[in-house]
Amino acid sequence: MKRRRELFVGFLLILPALIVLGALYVYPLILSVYTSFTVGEKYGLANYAKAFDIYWRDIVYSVLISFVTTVVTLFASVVVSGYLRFRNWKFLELMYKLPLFIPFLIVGHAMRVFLAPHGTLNNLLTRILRIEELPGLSRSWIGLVWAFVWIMTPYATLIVLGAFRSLDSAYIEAAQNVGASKWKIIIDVLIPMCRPSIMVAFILTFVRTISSLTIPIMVGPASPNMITVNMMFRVNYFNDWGTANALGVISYLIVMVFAIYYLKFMAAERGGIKA
Amino acid sequence: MVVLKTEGLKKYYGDVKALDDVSVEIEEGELLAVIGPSGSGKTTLLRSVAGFVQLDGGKIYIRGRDVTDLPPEKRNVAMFFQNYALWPHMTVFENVAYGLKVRKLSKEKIREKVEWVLNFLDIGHLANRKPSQLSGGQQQRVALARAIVVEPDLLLLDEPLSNLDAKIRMRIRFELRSMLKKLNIATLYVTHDQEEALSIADRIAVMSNGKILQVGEPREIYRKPVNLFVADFVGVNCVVRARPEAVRKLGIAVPEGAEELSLVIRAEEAVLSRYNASIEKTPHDLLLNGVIVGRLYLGAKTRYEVKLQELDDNIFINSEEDFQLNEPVQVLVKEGSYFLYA
Repeated sequence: MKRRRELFVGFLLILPALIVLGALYVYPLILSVYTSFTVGEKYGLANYAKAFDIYWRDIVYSVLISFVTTVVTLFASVVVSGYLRFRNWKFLELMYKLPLFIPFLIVGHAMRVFLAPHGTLNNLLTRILRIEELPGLSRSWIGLVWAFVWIMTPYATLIVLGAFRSLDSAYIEAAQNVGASKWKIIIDVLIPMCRPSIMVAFILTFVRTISSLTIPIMVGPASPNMITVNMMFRVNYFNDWGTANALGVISYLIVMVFAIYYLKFMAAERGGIKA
Repeated sequence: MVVLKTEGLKKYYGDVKALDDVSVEIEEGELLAVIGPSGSGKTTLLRSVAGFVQLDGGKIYIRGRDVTDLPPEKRNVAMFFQNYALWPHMTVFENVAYGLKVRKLSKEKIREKVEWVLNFLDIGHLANRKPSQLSGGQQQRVALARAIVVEPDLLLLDEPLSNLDAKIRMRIRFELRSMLKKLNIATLYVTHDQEEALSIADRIAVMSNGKILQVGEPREIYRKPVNLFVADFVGVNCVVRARPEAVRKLGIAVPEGAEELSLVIRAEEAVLSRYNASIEKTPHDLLLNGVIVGRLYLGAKTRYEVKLQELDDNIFINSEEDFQLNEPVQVLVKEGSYFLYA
């Protein structure tokens, strides 16, 4: 009897959290999956057929852009983290965090100005290279990746640097001691020993990039587009919630591939200590 | 040939002097142990020689080459870390081979050297294991293998035996000494365990508060400590604070002008006997009268707390004999087993 009472009290205690989770997360998720399979009164795969038919290029494009962004971001954050692990440079410590406090909208606008055909970057480059004109990057995939990397690097760096810093210095000193340079140490000791955190940074960066809307609208090319932009078009211009949700579900599935890979990796990492 | 020479090393952490004018020398093949309590600066000394500490003054020479401003990877000294610091993602072979790989040796050369060192340390059969699959003693050997395989000018050992349990530690002491002697490699050995230092080192440096108080062979450190700190730190002792008159009555020469004296008695060498036993003593031996005020059974021996009559203080002495509480006893301390400091 007493045990039941305890269970009931325990349930009551977590109930508010469950309600919030259910109302704000589980319900919308189920609803969006449900909507993606309905057209008017009928159920079926019509929305998916339409989504793939019109947007298959954009789906591939989104995955590629997110992947390239993630790789470049991780490279940048490993370099910054490696540097800060060895040397205490207050200025860099502050600078790499700066983008964390700037809203995406502002970043988008700044990048448009910076990367425009006659923007800051091109003005500088034409002067240095002494040439007349350069194409602007602001409406190209390079500009988009550039803006994404600018935004994502601080988040990834926070995770990677945290892992680098929490690693016992003896592991690093042992490598230095037998003659390894700092670059060698980053590659042979820091990265392999901090793999779980780097994986987390990888997945978070990928997920945040593929789900971002503001930056692709402001900086990305008119076509192809990121999935998020297409979803917005479907809803705003065609009131087509079915296809929008089908695109949404497709992006969940893409992200889920990485999530499953991550979980498998973590399980292997935990069990990997054994023979 | 002198392998390591440090001249007036200084390192301050705020007001704390971690190294205060430290100069030591290590000869080819010599094992110098640095002992001292925690916070005495011995680990800072080791880490400065390795290049992990930015010094505030002084010079470090390795085989005559000034390495003071060289980064750790350019000094050709190999350090053994207290927690071993074996890279968990590499096998034993890869751990040991890493230093050679970094030095860009050929694959065959690396294999040859690593196999030699693993066999020398009797861990050849563990080559393909990961560090987490090894016992403490095995990890210790791998860490040692990783340090010596790069043929360093100088080996730095930071409390190499402290992570092993007491029984293994005793055995490994002998092994470690004979291994190092076979390799004939100059070694700086840091430990807080004075007994370990006495048994393993060719010479010992005793440190306290960033200063080296005495450097000498183990026997010299044990028999001729230069001050109260060294006398008390080495060996198992009792320190008795006494007035000069009381000490003079015991027949020991007392330095002039001292108000209070410290008498260090090597308790491990003091002999306890019954009140009426006849004892042979030379004029320089110390014979004290006392009463048993406490006893602790230890197995082979019993530890007695003895209240000394002449000195009005208590000391602790182990004895195989059986004494009762409140029994009057005599304590014989031979010449060379007690030291007097002002």
